[in-house]
Formats: sequence, C-alpha cells, structure tokens
Amino acid sequence: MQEKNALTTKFSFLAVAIYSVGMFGCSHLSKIEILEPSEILWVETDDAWRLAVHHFAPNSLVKARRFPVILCHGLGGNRSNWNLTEDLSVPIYLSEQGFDVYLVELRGSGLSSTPSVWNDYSFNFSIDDHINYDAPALVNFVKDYTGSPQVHWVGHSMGSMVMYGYLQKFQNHGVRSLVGAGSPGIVIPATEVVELGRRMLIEFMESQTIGIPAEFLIRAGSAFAHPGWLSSMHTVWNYDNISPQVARRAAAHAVEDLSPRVLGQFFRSADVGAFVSADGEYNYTEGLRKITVPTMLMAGVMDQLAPPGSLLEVYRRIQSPEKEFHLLGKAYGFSRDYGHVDMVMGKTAPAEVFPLIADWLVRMDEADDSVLVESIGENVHVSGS
Amino acid sequence: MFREARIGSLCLFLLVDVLLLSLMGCQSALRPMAPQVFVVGEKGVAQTEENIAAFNYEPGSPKGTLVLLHDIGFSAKIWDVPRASNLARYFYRKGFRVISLNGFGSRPKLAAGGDDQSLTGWENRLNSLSLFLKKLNQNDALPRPIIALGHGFGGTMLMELGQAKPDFFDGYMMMGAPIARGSHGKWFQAWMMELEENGDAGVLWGKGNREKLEGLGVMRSNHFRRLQARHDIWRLEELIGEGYFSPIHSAQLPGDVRERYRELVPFIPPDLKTNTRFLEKPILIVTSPGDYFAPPWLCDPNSLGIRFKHLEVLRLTRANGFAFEYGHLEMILHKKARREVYPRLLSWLDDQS
Repeated sequence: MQEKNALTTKFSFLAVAIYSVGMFGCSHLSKIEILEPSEILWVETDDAWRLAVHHFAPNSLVKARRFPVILCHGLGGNRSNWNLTEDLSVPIYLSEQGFDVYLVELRGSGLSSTPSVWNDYSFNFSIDDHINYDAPALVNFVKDYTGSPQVHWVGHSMGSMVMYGYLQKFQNHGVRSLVGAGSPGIVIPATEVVELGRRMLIEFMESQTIGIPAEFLIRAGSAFAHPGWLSSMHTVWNYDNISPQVARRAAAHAVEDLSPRVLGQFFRSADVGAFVSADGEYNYTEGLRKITVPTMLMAGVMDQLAPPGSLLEVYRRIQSPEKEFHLLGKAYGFSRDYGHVDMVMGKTAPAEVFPLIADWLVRMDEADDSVLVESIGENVHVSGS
Repeated sequence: MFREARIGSLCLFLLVDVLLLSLMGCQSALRPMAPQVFVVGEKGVAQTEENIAAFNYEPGSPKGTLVLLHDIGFSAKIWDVPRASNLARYFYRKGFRVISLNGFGSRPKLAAGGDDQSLTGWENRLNSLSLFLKKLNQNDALPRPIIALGHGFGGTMLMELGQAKPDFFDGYMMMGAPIARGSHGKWFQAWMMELEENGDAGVLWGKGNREKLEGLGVMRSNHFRRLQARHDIWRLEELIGEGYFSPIHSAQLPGDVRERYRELVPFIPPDLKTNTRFLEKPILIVTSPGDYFAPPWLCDPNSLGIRFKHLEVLRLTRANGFAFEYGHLEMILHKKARREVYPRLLSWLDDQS
C-alpha cells in the first residue's frame, strides 16, 4: 500500500513537472507585439555587470526635447514593464512626443547580465547595488551618449526607489526630473501574503544567494493569469483594469527571477517601517529630505504593494521646488481605481496615465533652470486634493 | 367519487391554512429582542423608553463590553438594520455586552437639554460622550475588557476620548475611521461646496429633510453615491426613509476639518504620536481602498508614522481574500460583511478577552 502511495506521489510530481515545463514553453506563443527599439546599447558598471539599454529615437517630425528620458522597470521586472504591446508602450508614446528615450534593465533582468550556471554572476545583490552601481552607470552613460548635461528619470515601483537612493548619495546626479509611479518611500505590507513573508522569510531571504525562480513559475502559470483565481494575485494588479491578453502576456514576458537579498531588503524595510539599506545601517526614508529634484509621484488607489500612504511619505519629505502628487482613482477624477501594475499596463493607462507623464516631462523639459532651483517650496502643485 | 375528491381538496386547503397560520404565529417568536434603552438625565443614567441615547444589548454572563459609535450623519440604528446586517446583535449573540451610542443623534440627546444647539459641536459631543460613559460605568460596572468600536468619525471621536482618558478603553476597533484629516479628493470638496453654496452646510439628511435634500440635489449627486462602492446593499433613499441617517445640525465638523479637506497632506493631531499610554492599547484598524470617505492612507497608522504597540490592520480587499473592495457603508451593512468581516472582528476580540 505504501509503495503504491509513493508511486502515485512520484507520478504526480512528474505530471506537474511536465505540465510546468510545457506551459513554460507554450508561454512563448504569447508573443510581444512591440515596435523594436532603434538600437540596443550596453553599459558596464564599476563592479563589472553588463546592463542593457534599449534606445528609442525621437520622432523627427515633432519638436525635439532638450533632455533624454530614462525609463526603469520595477522589482522582478524588465523592459516589458514599459513596453508590452504597441498600445502599452511608454517609450513609443514619449518618443512620439519628441523625447529621446532609453529603456534600461537593471542587473539580473532581461538582456542585462543575469546569474546562471554559465557565468560567475550571483544573485547576491540588493537594492543598494542598484543604487550604488547601476543607477550612476546608466545616468552617466546616457549623458555621455547624448551629450546632454541632465536626464529625466521615470521609474515604476522599485525603479524610482533606486533613484531616491541615488539622488541622496550622489551630489552631481545629473537628473533633471523624476517620475515615481507606485514608488514607495516606506514599505507597508498591505496584504496578508506580504505580511506573512515579512514575518517568516526575512532571515531566510537574506541568507540566500540562489535566485527565486519567479520567471519560470509565473510563465508556467501565465495561461491562468486572468482572471485572478488566487486572491493574492490582486496584490499586483486590479483585474478590473487589465485585459486578459495583457495579463497573460505580462506574466509570460515581464517577470524575471528575483534576488533574495532584494526581497529580503524589502521585508527588512517593512519590519523597520522605513526604506533601509540591506544591512539596516542607512535609512533612505530619512535621506529623502536631501532630494531637491522636481518630482512627480503617482499612487494607485487600489495599489496593494505601494499604497498611497507610502508615497505620501516621499511627497512630505522631499524638498523639491516642484512636486506633484497624483492619486489614480475614481474619487480623484480618473476613470478607474488603479493598482500597482495596471497603472502602466491597464486598459485606461494610455489615455490617462501616459499623458500625465508626458505632460510633466514636457513642463520640466521646458522649465527655466533658475526657476527649478530658486523657487523651493513655492510651486507645489497638488492634484487630487 | 366526485364528492370524496371535493372533501379531500377542502381538507388539503384547511391543512395548508392551518400550517400558514401556525408559521405566522411562530414567526413572531423569531423576532429579535428589543434592546434596552438608556438615556442620560441630569441625575445620571436612567432606563426609559423616551429620549433614546443608547441601546444596550446585555447577554447573561458577558465576556466583555463593546461600545459602538456610529459615523457622523448616521444614527445608532446603522448597527442594527433588519434584513441587512446587524453587527450589534452579532456580538451580543457571541456573548458580549453591546452599548450602541447615539452619538450624533437627531437631537443632541446625550445630555439633557433637548434641542440645545450649543451641544452640537465636536468638543461638546466629546464631553457629553465622556460624561455618559463615566456615569454608565459608575451606575453599572461594565464588564472588562471594554472595547471601543467606531465607524468613520465615530471611531475618530472614540480614539480622541481614549487619548484623553487612556484607562477607560482596553482596546479599539476602528472601521473606516480617519486618524488624519484631508486628502479626500475633489469630489468631497465639490460636495461640501455644494452644501455651503446652498447656505445649509449643517443639515445634510434625515427623515424629515427628504424634500429639502431633493431640492438641494444632494440625493441625485454622484458624491452622495460614494458612500457605497458597489451600490447593491440598500437603496440610500430607503435608508434615509427608515431613519438610519440622522441630520447634522451644526456645520461644526471636527475642528477645522473642512479646511483640512482642501489639503493633500493629511493633518495628524500633534500630540497623538507621543501619547504613549494610548499607543500601548491594542488596536484593530479596518480599512478598504473602496472606502472613499475614509481612504486607507487616512486610517492606517503605518501610513502616518504612528506606532501603536499592538496594531493589526485588516484591509478589506480582494488581495486579502475578501469578495470585493468594501465601501464605507458596506463594511458594516453588506450581507457578505457578516460572513467575511464580522468573524475577523470577533477573532481579534476573543484574543483581547
């Protein structure tokens, strides 16, 4: 009887494994329909990681903008965060507005150096490494490549948290303006799954150097990415605002393996109640006061990963001469209550969110330099109040 | 043969009639108990059917006391709505003594004085509430733990009471209760302005004011509809007709709240973060992104940098396994709240007992 049970278990595991590998393979059938970038460029960081930069040249028929734009993905994401389909492509949208756009991928993501058995890279990196090595390398590269003294930085989630750290650590940062889409200044475990992770996994995560195979697992389950049959899936997006095709495509192509130390740093930050370095020594939330770069923040009302309160903390603390805060929700004039991912991939994002980003970038691009420096505290724009 | 069939039919009809009549009779036995009613007089707490001030639901041997306070613009009836949801009776059946205060009643009844409009301000309400609870506890020692359960501004008021007298309550359950003020959005401002422009900011709704409200256009207003995220719990007109809302006589909303609503960065009471005796009390925050009246960033101490020692936050969203994102009223009134929300409150309450 015991032998029979053991055999059944083995067959079950085998069946699940075959199914998963099959689904993983089939996920490639859900192709990304995007316009390819003009070129792919490569940057090497000081600690010898190779980062991919996807260049989208500006539309030459419209007015050329002064400063280039860097787009950066969030935790466990890649270039597809901003560029999933032709309709859901921020780089194409911005390049049509005359911006020279550089879509970057941080270490461990997309075409950038990714740890594997074939190379010596390791998942033993944290957000601090993104801040200390990736961000300066990317900003300096784009500045050198374009000859522009400054760049605009647009980040989704962790993509702008990296910039919060970079701006407070580097004096000559060369950043013209910052857009934070769902980028928290403190980490609030807004769902029970995250809370459970915070309590149970923090020490385990910090001690691991093997990547968490999110890409494989989520690709294997991508066929079921919509509707959200697991309640915890509502953590990452508001399904009311995302089409089934986009959800499946995002699950198949926009997710990367996670660094356990990055995840551990998030859990530790949630534990402390502030965004802190991996060793807990440096408090990035406290350091937000050093930021004077014009900043626009966008918070989804239904965002369970970066709830609006966690972005309000950034808004309160930064000392930028120009700062805006947009609550993306019905009560604030939008057609949907936005979640974390659908603020860039949602059905209504191209009509409501992309123009918001473009409008901000155009204004900051055209603003007189002296105004941005001298009018600290006077030109605070607020929407949603 | 034909005659026998007729007799049979008659007997069957008779049987059905008897059955229906019996069921009708038995149904009256199923009617819920009427809660005892308290009123505060000059000499203390009296028990009478007149001048309702608070409803008392008292089981045999209570495990503790729940003090309920409804939101501004509602009445104590909101906790005990037949055919919808009745949180007061739920906890009574679970063995807790429940005292449901009519804190913002149709008249300021928490202290003697009838329609004395001087009692309608926030501070006066807070004082009369404090007086009521003190007298109640003196006359009739309330079983511990005493837990404050507030909805909306009722919760805000109970928390302010707790800050002033940290020893009175042993814990707090706050449902859609804003700690900070502001950041409600354009719709709320538009609503307030609509009322102000009509020169009648104080009177919002109430049984007697339906015609007036319809004249103001508030009933047709989309802002008014934001009380519910899903619009399927009850027809608001019906709720108003049944008296579950109560008019607000005074434009004196909490302190400078109306000014604060114009600002984005929420205002936090300055001495809250340092009131250590208050911050040591266990607290359960119930909030939801579907609540436009008290959005999570105004209710969640984590968002505001306030550190309670024993804090639990219950977010009523699909991400946490709930059926939908609950609205301000639905977290109390929706039939699913009975299955999903109340048991979570009970579980937390049992941990405190």
